[in-house]
Amino acid sequence: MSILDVKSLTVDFNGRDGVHHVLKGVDLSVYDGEIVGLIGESGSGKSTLALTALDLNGHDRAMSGDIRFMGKSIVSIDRESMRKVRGRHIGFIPQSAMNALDPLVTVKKQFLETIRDHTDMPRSEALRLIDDSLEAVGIGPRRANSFPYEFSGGQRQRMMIALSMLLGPELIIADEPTTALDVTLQSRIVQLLKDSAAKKHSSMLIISHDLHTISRICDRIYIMYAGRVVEYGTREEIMGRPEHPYTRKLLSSRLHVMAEPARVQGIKGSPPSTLKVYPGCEFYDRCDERADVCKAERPPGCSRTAKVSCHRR
Amino acid sequence: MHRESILKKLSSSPQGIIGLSILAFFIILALAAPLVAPYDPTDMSADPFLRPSGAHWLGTDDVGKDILTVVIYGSRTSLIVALAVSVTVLAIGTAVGVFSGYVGGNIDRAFMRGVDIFLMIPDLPLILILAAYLRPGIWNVVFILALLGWPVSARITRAQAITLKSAGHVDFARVSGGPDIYVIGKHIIPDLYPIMATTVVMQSIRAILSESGLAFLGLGDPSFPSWGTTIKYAIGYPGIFFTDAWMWWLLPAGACISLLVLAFVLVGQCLEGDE
Amino acid sequence: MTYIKTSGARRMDKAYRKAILNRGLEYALTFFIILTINFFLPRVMPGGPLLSIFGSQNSDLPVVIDDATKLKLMDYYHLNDPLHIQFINYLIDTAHLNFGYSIYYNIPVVDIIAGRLPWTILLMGSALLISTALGVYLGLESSWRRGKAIDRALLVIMPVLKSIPVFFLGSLIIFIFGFRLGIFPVSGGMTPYAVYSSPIRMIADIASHLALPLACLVIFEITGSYLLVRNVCTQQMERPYIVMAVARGLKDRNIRKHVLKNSLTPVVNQAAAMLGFLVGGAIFIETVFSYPGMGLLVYNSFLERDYPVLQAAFIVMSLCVLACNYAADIISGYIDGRARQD
Repeated sequence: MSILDVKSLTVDFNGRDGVHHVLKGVDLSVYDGEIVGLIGESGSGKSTLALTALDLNGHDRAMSGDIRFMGKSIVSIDRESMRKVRGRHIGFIPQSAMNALDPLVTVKKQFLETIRDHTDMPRSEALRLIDDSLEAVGIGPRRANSFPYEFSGGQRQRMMIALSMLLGPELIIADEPTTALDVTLQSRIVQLLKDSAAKKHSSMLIISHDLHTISRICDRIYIMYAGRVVEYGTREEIMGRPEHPYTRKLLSSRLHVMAEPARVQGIKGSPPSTLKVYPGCEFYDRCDERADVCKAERPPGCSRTAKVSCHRR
Repeated sequence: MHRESILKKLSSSPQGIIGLSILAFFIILALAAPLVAPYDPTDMSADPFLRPSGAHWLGTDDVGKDILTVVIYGSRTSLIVALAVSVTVLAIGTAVGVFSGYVGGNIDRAFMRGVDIFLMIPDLPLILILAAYLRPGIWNVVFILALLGWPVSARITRAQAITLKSAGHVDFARVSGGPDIYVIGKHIIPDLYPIMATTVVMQSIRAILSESGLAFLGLGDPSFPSWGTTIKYAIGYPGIFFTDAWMWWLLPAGACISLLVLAFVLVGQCLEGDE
Repeated sequence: MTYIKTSGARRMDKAYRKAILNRGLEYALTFFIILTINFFLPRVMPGGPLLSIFGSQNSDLPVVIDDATKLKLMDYYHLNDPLHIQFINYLIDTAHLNFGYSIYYNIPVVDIIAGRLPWTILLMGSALLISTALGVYLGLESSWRRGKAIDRALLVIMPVLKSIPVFFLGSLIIFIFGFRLGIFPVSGGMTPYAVYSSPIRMIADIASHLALPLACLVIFEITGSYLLVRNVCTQQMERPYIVMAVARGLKDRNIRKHVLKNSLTPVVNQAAAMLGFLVGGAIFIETVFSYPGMGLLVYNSFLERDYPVLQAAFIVMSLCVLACNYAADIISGYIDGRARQD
């Protein structure tokens, strides 16, 4: 059963300098019990996809396509219905945990209000739930009475993980969960994400630019570039047999800890502009295998059968 | 460079355009008063309480003056006070602010202490006390308003001067050995134009409202017809509200004050980039 | 880098207390300067200090003072003593609330002020509270529904309201609601010589007299807090914790509570700053509505050149404004300290 189904999602934003084409016909699915990674660089539209799913970015936005959660479309439902979905059925872990909570209110109160605004749970039960959740991420329950500023960065990130899973949502969307942390913490957080999702039987959609770190816990991975999905597959397929030139570049641009010195290849060039409409493939300028057809014609999009969007495959 | 962009900003937004138009209207009215007004402002020869008619578009007041004339000449008073106060405040405030911010150190702190104290004193009671001791006169009013107004301008200017002092081009000029006056004159002051414009607008609003308010309380200069005075006489007349006279006696003066202030408010909003 | 709760809070308290003390000293200094200005004014103004005690020789009922009496009076009021002695006496007098005698009423100034001050506090206090509350509510609504009808309408209405001089507004209000519609009385604080059958009736009478001047003041003041609140709230709404609050599915009214809490500091500061403004406005309002408060007192004393009353009123009003500003600093410092911890 698919928990989340994104179909032909196209999102434009009206800016002062023109219309930004951020998502161009994206198809994506998350199935029951799996962890899906959505990888892309800045400007690829990956965060926009997450924010659009939760309808957090509605200002000056034009969109077409469908987003289905548990089979029901959540694109044009009324405000109150959407509110009930957020937090309760779709959890969100923000990118910057540092400022994700009100600095003037204790952690406990903010957890409590989340519970109260969604359920009728009696206070004692709610408190027990909070304590359990915090303990599950390694934060002593007594600390719940503190203010957000009294926690370190890593602790705050773990708190946000606890908060997102508090009500046992069916889907958790994590927006760059490791980006703001230093390397030593990253792998621990990633593991915590996997364990928590498993414990609560939630599916997860992780958004990141860090293919290597995130791939460790993903079941399936989508690669995005310039607002499109350019490749998708299982972890083994993407990590072991990448097809798209961009995916291959991503995989080779990492420092491996190896015995012999390794050559790190960065990706030359810069990401394409969201203001321009490209007739052909957006990756043309930075692609090693480009051909004339790539510039002139759009490669066929990814679909059920086509796992790669490239002329050369 | 900045002068042009101010004008451009003003003419590109609807608020700016409306504000400037109203302002232009009143300025023209004030300048052309002797030509436009049908009578002399001291002319009391007509019958009192005449209704509006061809000879008197807004009728006459309780002593036989043509109300339209008084209203037209009132624009002069308001604009003169606005100009005088804002220019004075600008001059003193900028001088003190730039000097204090540029020099820094204990002089700066001393100045700012003085400014803070000034800022805390409530305006109107002080004005009234001073006015009780001094003769009523338009230049006394300007003096008092400017006296109480320059601290605000000094504060804002100083803050900006401090920011600018460590800006790239200013630092370079200083380090290259340019004399301080040169650095200030050529590099800091031009970048202060936006703040100066805002100061002029704010002080003008304050001046116009204060002047008409003081005139309303009876502190006006008798030789300068003022909108505030007109309102004072209109209200003071017993039974004003039981006739229709309030419409052409009370309303025009009050509407003029509101419109002129609104013009400045709109221009100010436009300059600050409000939506 | 884990902050232990106790040391963080302790650190904040110490700095906070020091700042508050400093602020207090600044205000005390300002008050002292005001007192000094008040001391020197009658002595440097044309007419000399006796003018401010007995009034002008040109007034309607002058106190006739020949030269011999003048010398005796100068001595009686210690006006020939060295200045610093006069000043010390002046300070002592002020501390004892001895402001001399009113030229017009011939009773101690302090009694007059004591009778008028409560009315003004009632009027200005309620005006400040109501206009701030309304301004906050409207500002919050406006930023919540930014760009929609109510926001656009308010953005047009507010500048217009801001431009109308308060005395003109008062006149219009008197006319429409007092005369034409006859709902509210147009002058005074209570019905003159009224006898009340119960305290509730007295309160109702006072309230009905308060209605129009209060409405006028509120309309006049609301623009200030509205614009500020709208701007601050709009800023807050783009902050990460608000986005997260929406993402958690919090109800609208709870999200607004968060926005409000974090927007309070500038609002409190502004409310206090407005107090100085309100004091000026009170003079106009009380004059237009014949409301028996400090404002009307100042105005009448000004007309009568009743210097002792004028000066005492000035001191009292300044003291009130300073006290309120100080209170605002204390409150906003407290709220701010929490918010600036990281």
